Amino acid sequence: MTAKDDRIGRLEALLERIRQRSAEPRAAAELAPMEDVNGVAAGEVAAHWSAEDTETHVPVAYQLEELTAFGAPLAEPSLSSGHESSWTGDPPPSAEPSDNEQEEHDSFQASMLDEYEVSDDVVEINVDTDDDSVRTSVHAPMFEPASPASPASSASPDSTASFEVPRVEGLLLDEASRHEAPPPVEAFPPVEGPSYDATVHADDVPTVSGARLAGASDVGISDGEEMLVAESELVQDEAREERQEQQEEEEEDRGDYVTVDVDEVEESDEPLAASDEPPASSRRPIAVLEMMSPEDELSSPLADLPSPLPDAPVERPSSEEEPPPFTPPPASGRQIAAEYTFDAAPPTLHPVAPLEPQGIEEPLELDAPRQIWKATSPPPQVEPESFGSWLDATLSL
Amino acid sequence: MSFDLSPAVSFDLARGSVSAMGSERTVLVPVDALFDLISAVDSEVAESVAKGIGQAMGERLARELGGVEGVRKAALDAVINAIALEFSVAGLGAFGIERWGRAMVLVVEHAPRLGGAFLVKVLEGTLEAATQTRVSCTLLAADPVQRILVASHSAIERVRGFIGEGVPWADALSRLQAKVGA
Repeated sequence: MTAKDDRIGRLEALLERIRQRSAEPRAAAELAPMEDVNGVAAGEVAAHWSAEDTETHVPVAYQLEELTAFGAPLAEPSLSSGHESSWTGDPPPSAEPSDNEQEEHDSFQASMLDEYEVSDDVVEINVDTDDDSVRTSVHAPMFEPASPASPASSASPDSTASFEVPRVEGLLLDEASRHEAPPPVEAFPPVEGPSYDATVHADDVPTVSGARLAGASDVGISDGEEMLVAESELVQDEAREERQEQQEEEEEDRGDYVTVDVDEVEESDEPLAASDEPPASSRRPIAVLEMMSPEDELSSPLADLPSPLPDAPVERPSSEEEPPPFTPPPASGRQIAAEYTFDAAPPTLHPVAPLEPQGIEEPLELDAPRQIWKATSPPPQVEPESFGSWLDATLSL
Repeated sequence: MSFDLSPAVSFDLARGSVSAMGSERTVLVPVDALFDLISAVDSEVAESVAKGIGQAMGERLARELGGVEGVRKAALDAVINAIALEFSVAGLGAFGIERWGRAMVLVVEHAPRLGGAFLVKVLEGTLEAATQTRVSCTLLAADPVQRILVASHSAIERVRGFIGEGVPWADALSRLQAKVGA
């Protein structure tokens, strides 16, 4: 039995139950309040369900798009289309179906089976009952392992597994449907797993020429498979521009710090880790040079250079520790004498000028008295030998 | 001849006193102040002040040379050097002597502007105090150096007469000695 046959079998069982429920008598009085509450026009009841193609279980989700055709005019058999996904109010009293009803059920089932539209991916069941004016549409999209529809783009009604049941006062799920309520289905499984088709664009990954993407399985690439990113000039340009912009922004924030040659960075052939962060090879020089913290600077070779400033901050003495202002000593002669040894024996100055002002230590020898003789003047008759004789001679004139 | 100038002038800064050549206290007076003083007073008073300065020098000189007799017996250059020292210490200029025949002419260079008459009276007071002999001096010339003749009072009067007549001071000295020699 294939999975598709299994699903068809399950659907047949479901339709059987629906038909059994629709044959149950219902009291119009029980349905009367519903119209008042909903206030919806008479129409059709549609239920969509979807299931995953798994071997273990078939999660079924129901979505009520419209809830109509509830009211007094719609009497007993008309609203007997309660099935697992429907709403039936109170559980109907158990009653054995009549022969007519059994025939109708058989014919209905046969017609339904004829209307099966089984395709590769969709199982659709349409139930139209003219008598009770109820049309049940069952739409079951079949998920294939390699479905082209991505979860992100699965906004179509077929793939929408979540549904909301309008709160209808007066209507209660029957016990059967309540017990068989499908487990919640995660409509959008997380982006992981082998079945998730994630398209990796080279533009999204800033890469380096010749770099190899490691861990590609994390982004949907099969495990162990290595992928070489094509060396595209466009990719390089974009990555270079991004790095330059980032570098310029960081330089603006930190000022003119270090100029990094981006071209040299691009020459690196180190493998890149596939992550949201830019390649390590493209960040490393910039990070090392520009992200250098003061602690890093201290541990850098530049820290070995002697610093003109002292290591410890110079603590300015507080106002209490400051020395008192300088007060000159009183200008008393006593202190000056003590300081300049005026109290001691005063030096005796010995003027030497005007004879020989240049420090004569030897006894000064004055020139001998000059004797000026003129031709007209008479020569001295007697040469005095002493000052007294000279004085007597001149006084004799 | 040599002089020991070490005790020439002593300045006692603690007491604020100055002593010259071991004498009593000396007052250093500006030349202009002294000139104003001698110009303002009578000539006799001025001559008396000048002689008083000279007498102090002569007395120190006599003490230095052994009294009046020592000065007379001392060689000419010794006495001249002693007088020159006194003049230098007093700031009165460089002292020298010339002998014109028998006439003794004292020469003072770089003398302060106190007038020739003032220096004449200083020299008279110095010689009279040093030798205890009355001497007369007169100014022969004042430019460029001041020459002062030392002679008897009569001889000085005659030379003043010659100079008054316009005789050059050297001719006056010749005429003075010619008369003596004639």
